[in-house]
Amino acid sequence: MEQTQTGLSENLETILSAFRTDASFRCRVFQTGMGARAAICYLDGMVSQEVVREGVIRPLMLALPTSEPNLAAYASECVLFATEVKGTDSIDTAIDGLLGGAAILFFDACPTVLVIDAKGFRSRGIQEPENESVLQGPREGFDEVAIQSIAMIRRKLQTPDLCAEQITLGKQTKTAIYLCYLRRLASPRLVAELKRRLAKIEIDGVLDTNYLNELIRDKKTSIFKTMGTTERPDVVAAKLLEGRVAILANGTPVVLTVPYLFAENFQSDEDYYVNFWGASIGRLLRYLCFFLTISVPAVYLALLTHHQRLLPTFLLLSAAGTRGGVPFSSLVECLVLILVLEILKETGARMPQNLGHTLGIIGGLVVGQAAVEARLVSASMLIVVAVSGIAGLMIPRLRAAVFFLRVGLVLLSAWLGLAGWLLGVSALLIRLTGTTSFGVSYLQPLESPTAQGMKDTFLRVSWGKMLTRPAFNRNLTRQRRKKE
Amino acid sequence: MKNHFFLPIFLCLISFSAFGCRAVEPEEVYLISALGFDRTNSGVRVSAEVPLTREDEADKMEVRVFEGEGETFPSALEAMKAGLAKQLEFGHCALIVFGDGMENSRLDEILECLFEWQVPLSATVVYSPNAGELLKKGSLSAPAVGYEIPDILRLISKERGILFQCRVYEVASSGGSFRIPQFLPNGEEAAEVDRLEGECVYHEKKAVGIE
Repeated sequence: MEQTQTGLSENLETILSAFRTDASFRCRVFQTGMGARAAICYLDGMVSQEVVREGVIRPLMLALPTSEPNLAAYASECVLFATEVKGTDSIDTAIDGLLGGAAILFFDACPTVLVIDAKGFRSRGIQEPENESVLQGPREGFDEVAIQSIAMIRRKLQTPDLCAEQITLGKQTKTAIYLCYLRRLASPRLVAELKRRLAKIEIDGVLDTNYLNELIRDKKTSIFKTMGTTERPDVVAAKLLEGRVAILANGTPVVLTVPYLFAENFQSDEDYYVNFWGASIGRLLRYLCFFLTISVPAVYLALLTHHQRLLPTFLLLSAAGTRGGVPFSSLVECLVLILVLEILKETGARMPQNLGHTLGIIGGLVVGQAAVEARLVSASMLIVVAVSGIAGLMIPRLRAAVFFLRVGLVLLSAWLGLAGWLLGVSALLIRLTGTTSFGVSYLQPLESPTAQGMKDTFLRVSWGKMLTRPAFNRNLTRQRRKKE
Repeated sequence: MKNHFFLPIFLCLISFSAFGCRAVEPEEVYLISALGFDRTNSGVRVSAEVPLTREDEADKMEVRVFEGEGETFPSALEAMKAGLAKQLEFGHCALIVFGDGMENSRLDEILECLFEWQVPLSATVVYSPNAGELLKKGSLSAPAVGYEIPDILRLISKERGILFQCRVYEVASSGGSFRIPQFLPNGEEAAEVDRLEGECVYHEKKAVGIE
């Protein structure tokens, strides 16, 4: 750790050598009213020019002469108008502060350098998250500045119980990571486990919370999410009130929440802002759509190729008629259509909006009509895969899992018929029961249903009946509100 | 934890050994809608009615009747299959037609064949003097004779309250004494459908008359 020098020139030379090739580095040397020369250094674009000018340079220039031996301490306590000032004797600490958006202040004949919080970089501001829009309810979204995101959470949870512990990860990025939880609701074991896993991370940079997601989750190769993600402060606040822990990172609006349960994949952000009847219908539809999206192509393929007796006669005749002339087997046809559907979805998401509409039409026309007329695919299989694809859009959180499950069940069904489909579903259930999220069973409360536990799973009961918090954490206070 | 790995493998092996890989595309089979059994001078004849959908117009159906002759019904079926490019699927057969002379051992042989070929036990059994001709005459009110005749019987049952006990399982469990509707092929007039003309009575595996 390199120590600061007493002379201003030596310290400036050390700092300049570190930022010689950085065009955004600024340094101003000036005479203070206290009698000594000073130099302020900062990175252009990272600091607020007004804070530097009005909070640092102006008060120093207008300060009265003093005989204090430690000018840095005197300026920190009596002169500067900045909100946060720290003194240090370490050049490395000063450089870290500079890189984090602080301004550093040297005095001649004083070894202490002041690190002044003057952050003023631009942020995106509060916008509604694109992927989590609601028809009714709050429309705020986090931005890339974690401290501001914490402030948004704090506006919703105005309690001293709200903790925001900081750790730094990433050798090059030195990303600030914050763990937010409610002290009296979150399990101490969960918080300790989270800290333990984060402490084990050795990585060059953390640019998004997904880096942490993939490094600390329970089953690293699982196709199911075991950590929740959201860009909405109201969702994070709701999760914290249930005893979960939120992980925020500088540079990304996406916040992780743990533990994350399977049933949460079927919850919508606005389920709690609309009437519980409407929310319950939506919830049931999502469960149904999950089953349909992974099963419909597989079951149809099984019936068509292995269990033709189970199909109605005219349906079978129609399928045989539409398949006449198609050069590929039903399995290949199904897989190709699933792949094309995924390509269309991915392209539609990546394209600029004005091109996306055109692409949708072309995709529908080309794949839908022309391919059928050209006898490359059959109309019945196209409809089946399209229904499966549309059902899958109801559960965007399970997008990756649905793709793999759909393909896996199709392959099993093509091989073994309905027995293969059942085998796939059994394997899925076995896998889900063995999955955990930070020690909590992934299928809670579905695997051990109770009346209160099921009140927010398949249906969303009214707020009048939501008396207890989820049962996954036995340590926390279960009672959410008093029964009337 | 090991069970989570080995159990799916075990279930996979069990399923494979039980079901194997028997995928058949729907366009690779002929779906039989009706079967007819007749006596010939040299043995027996099996007629199979097969509806086919056209590739260019999937809503239009044409019907073909395949025939095969042999000394026994299985050999007649083999003779029929010899000339076909696709497999035969009996699982959707809706109609069985007994021709003249289907009694005693021939009746037993037919029922054995129906079970062996896995014809649905709910298929309707009727009598016609010439089963092959009934199937060849075609149907007017439905895509195939195999669908038309059960529909006619269903309609008559509903309108007149008559119960026809003429399913395969009813005939098989009757001990040889049963009554099955008699149908004659439609005539030359365009509007004529296959006609229900009484019932053929079987007593102890022998056809005793029409009532």
